Amino acid sequence: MVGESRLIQQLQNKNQKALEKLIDKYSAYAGTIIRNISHNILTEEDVEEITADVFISIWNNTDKLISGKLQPYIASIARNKAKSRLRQYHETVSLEDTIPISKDSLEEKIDNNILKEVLAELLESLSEKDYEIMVRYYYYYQTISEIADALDMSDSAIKVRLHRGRKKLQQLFIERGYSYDTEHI
Amino acid sequence: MTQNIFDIFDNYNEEESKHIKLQEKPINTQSVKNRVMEQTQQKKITCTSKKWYRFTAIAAAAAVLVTGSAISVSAGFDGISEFFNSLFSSESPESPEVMGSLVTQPVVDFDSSNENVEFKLLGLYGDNSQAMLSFEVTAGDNIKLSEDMASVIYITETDENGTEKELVQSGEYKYLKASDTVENTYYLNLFLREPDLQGKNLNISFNNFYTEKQIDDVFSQLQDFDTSMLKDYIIENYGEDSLERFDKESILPEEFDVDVWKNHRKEMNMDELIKNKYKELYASSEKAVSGVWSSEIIMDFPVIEPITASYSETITTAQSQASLKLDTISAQFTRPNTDDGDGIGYVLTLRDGRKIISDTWFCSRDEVDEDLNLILKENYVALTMLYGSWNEDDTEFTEVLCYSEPIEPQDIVEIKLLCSKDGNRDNISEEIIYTAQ
Repeated sequence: MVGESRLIQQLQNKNQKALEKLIDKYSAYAGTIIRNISHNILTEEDVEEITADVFISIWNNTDKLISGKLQPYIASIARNKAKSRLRQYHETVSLEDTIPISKDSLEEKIDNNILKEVLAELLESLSEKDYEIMVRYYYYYQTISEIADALDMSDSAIKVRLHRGRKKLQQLFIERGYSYDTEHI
Repeated sequence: MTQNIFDIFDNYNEEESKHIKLQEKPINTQSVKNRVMEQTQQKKITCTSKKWYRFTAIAAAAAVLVTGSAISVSAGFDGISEFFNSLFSSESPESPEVMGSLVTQPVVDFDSSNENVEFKLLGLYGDNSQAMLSFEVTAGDNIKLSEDMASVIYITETDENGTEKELVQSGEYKYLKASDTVENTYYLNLFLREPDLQGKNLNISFNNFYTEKQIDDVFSQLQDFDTSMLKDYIIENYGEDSLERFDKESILPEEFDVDVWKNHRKEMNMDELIKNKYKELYASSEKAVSGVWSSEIIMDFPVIEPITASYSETITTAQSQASLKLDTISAQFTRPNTDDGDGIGYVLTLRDGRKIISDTWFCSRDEVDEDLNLILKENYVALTMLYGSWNEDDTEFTEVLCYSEPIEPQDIVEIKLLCSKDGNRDNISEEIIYTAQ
């Protein structure tokens, strides 16, 4: 962490060498997140361009850098940039990866604070393995087979655990009146 | 209607996933670098005033006493440009030349255990709440210093009775900055976040030079040492099973009481143990260049009689009596220690209309603009440092705003206190706490 705080200090001093060092260290990481999110829709050149955008954004916002939180910050910018680019491609999301929202719900869009609260409750309730699978799939956008490889499990085992996670998530929304039980309609 | 689960995970806090190792796929780093450099170098000019944002962490200090003469006292000496050329760090002023009238250049000798490296004090300045010292470090032909090397600096104060006391900052390390013009010559700056330094006799010793990796290694060993004390405490109070869980998942026992642990730390004098361990680790660790260079330096710089005032305010949780002190290159605010510390800021308006703001959070509230930097540069005096401290029983908190140029206290016409409710940028209350007589 000492190295990281020095790197941040140098970035805040607008030291170009520090920026290069940051790119050396994190470009593969940011690129991986962007590539995972794009699911091969984007060309390699697009991925490089978005990755570059991530570092330009960091360079222009060095005041937001906090030692110990650099990697999460890079991840969140990479996610946002990639998702924003993908909107141009009108990519559809599988129905399986959505939660139906109750028509009785007063809001058309669930408030971010509620989403945060539900997510925290979900992750807290999951076993370590299920937690990791959900995060790899929904946060890092890894494919089922990539997760299976990384965790040395079968594709079907990953699918089962993802299904279990989704059900728990839906249940948490049902308890709050935002969703309904799709299995008993 | 549906809610996309991927979007829900936008709210995921990645800090919690440190144990998840993402298999990285290679990328053409050079191509990314070229794209970034192409754009950032063009924008370099508009970014320079970002120095504005550099506020450093909280450091400990005590109350401020006052002595002094007038702000206009000028030390005047040859080599002033050398002194300012040496100021390079995030703690350096935006326009150091405006500090010229405050700089003094005492001649001091260094005791050295390695004469292949020479130290020279280039100069110093300060006020009642801070001091800046700059040193030149010259390496002989057979010594290779570099900007990736730092020296650990111990600082003790000797009082009139000969009693020595270590300053709070003692033990910090500082990286070298290479001279742009002279080979094998480097600079080290020491910004002391301490009150009442004027006239004091400090023993400052630079201990060895370490590479970044060597420093990281010491830090990591120190963390292990700290954790080992926590583990001993867990075993003693919660048993082996709890320790096993802590080792495996970094989860503390359910019954773990942080306050009791803190008291235990205090009773066992653990902070002192860690401090000693820190010194021991640095002394025994691998070094890039060995040697100790030390000198007695009297903090001889002019200080003024600051303007002091007390005020009562109604917008923070404390809603009580507080005080302020306006000095040559700093302003100090002392108030009861409350939980809303993060949501409090100050705006000092100067006679010429410029402002000094304690926090970019409050600054950007009013000044959101495409070219914020330009606005800041034209309308505001930058800070080089913002530091805070608590008194011994934690009942009071003091914030010190160190300016990047001298400001006559009489030139401050108004000070406003800002308080954000619940950390909400759109819900900020303000109150005038000081108006010039």
